[in-house]
Amino acid sequence: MRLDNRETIGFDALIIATGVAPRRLPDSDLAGVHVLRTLDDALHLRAALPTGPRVVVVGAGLLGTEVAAATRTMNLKVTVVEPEPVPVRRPFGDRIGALVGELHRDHGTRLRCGIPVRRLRGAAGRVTGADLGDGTTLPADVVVLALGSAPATRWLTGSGLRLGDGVECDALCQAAPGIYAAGDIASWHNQRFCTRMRLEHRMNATEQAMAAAGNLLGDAEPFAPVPYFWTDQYDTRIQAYGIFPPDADVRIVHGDPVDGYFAAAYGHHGRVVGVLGWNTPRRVRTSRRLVAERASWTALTDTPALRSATVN
Amino acid sequence: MKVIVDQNKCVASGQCVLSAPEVFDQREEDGIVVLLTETPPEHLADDVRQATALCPARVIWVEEQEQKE
Ligand SMILES: Cc1cc2nc3c(=O)[nH]c(=O)nc-3n(C[C@H](O)[C@H](O)[C@H](O)COP(=O)(O)OP(=O)(O)OC[C@H]3O[C@@H](n4cnc5c(N)ncnc54)[C@H](O)[C@@H]3O)c2cc1C
Ligand code: SF4
Repeated sequence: MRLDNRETIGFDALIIATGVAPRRLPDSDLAGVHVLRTLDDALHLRAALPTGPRVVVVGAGLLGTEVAAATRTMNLKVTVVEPEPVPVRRPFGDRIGALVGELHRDHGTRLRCGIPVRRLRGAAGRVTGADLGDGTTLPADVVVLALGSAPATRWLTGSGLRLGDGVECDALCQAAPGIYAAGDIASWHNQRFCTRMRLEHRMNATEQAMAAAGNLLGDAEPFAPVPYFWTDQYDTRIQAYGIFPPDADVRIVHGDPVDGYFAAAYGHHGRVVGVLGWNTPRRVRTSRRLVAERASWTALTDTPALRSATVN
Repeated sequence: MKVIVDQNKCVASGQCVLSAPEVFDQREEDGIVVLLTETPPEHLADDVRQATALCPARVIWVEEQEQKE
């Protein structure tokens, strides 16, 4: 392995954990435009907020919606622009996405869904606004790009490793003999869900690192976790176990969205594949086992009151 | 071993309960960690170390005590 200073380091085994890098818009190299990945990014963004800027967030994924909630809580004027019809559609689907949209509107955050940002406008090297797909322009003093990120695999070009959506690994997180990958950069076959996945979640970075290190040392243990992640928006805490395919069936299994707390289950190919808690941390944790055990979806949905099935 | 948690920084993920249900619980209303015992028995020590490693907020610490003869 060669470093930037031309130093070379030999290895018997390697773990690749270079994560992801945020996507940007073309021509977005303007003062006032931010991405959020590192601690420095966060400090820069925070330093730009006390003067009361008009904030535009590009992208209503988990990161964009969290940034919007945080800046709105500082009483700033915030608009989020997203080409999909609802926020957080990719992680959670249409129904929960619509609820997240309502949550934001209730807090005074403006949402412009169904419209892409075409390009940013600037004057004298500073951002002044965002041109939208419908021909309008949103004035902005601060623009946060939350467009997702791409695996940081460029340094591996020509290495002979399979680079698809990240570093492609087998069920043991092994990319090639003696070479493993973990965290945001690793795409691997999760045997529990019989599918290849790549996760950008805090817990996965820890668990997959432990699994990859163990396998490197000879454990030969497939890494087959129930993915977990959370997002805190305003005073709402959303927690999710499992996977959330776009064509999954969604049922509220506890509580009621109207009351501001509930748990939902996601069914796919006859199995419970995901559970999501909205201000119900304890309940969703006890429901996790439906996902871990790949519980039958019809058995779940045929039971009108499934409280007994979800209490541990 | 002695276990210490910081409830102020806990993000209510419940990973500790999944690792060591005899030692950790969560408050019903907001999911914040509740320590069931400060000094868990030796046979739970590995589970507690696992919880320490997995806690996404890194708010669980253990003080290992010297083994008494
Ligand atoms: C703002 C923000 C909020 C988040 N919030 C949540 C949340 O609430 N819940 C959740 O579950 N997850 C959250 N995540 C995701 C979580 O932080 C990531 O999944 C996790 O950090 C991934 O860890 P990693 O070690 O794979 O990658 P990283 O933490 O990105 O580490 C990769 C490291 O590799 C370095 N690197 C890159 N290229 C090279 C190279 N060529 N040579 C050497 N080093 C290199 C990078 O500089 C970096 O230090 C959030 C992420 C962000 C950005
Ligand atoms: S694992 Fe950590 S963050 Fe999660 S509930 Fe336990 S103490 Fe809190």
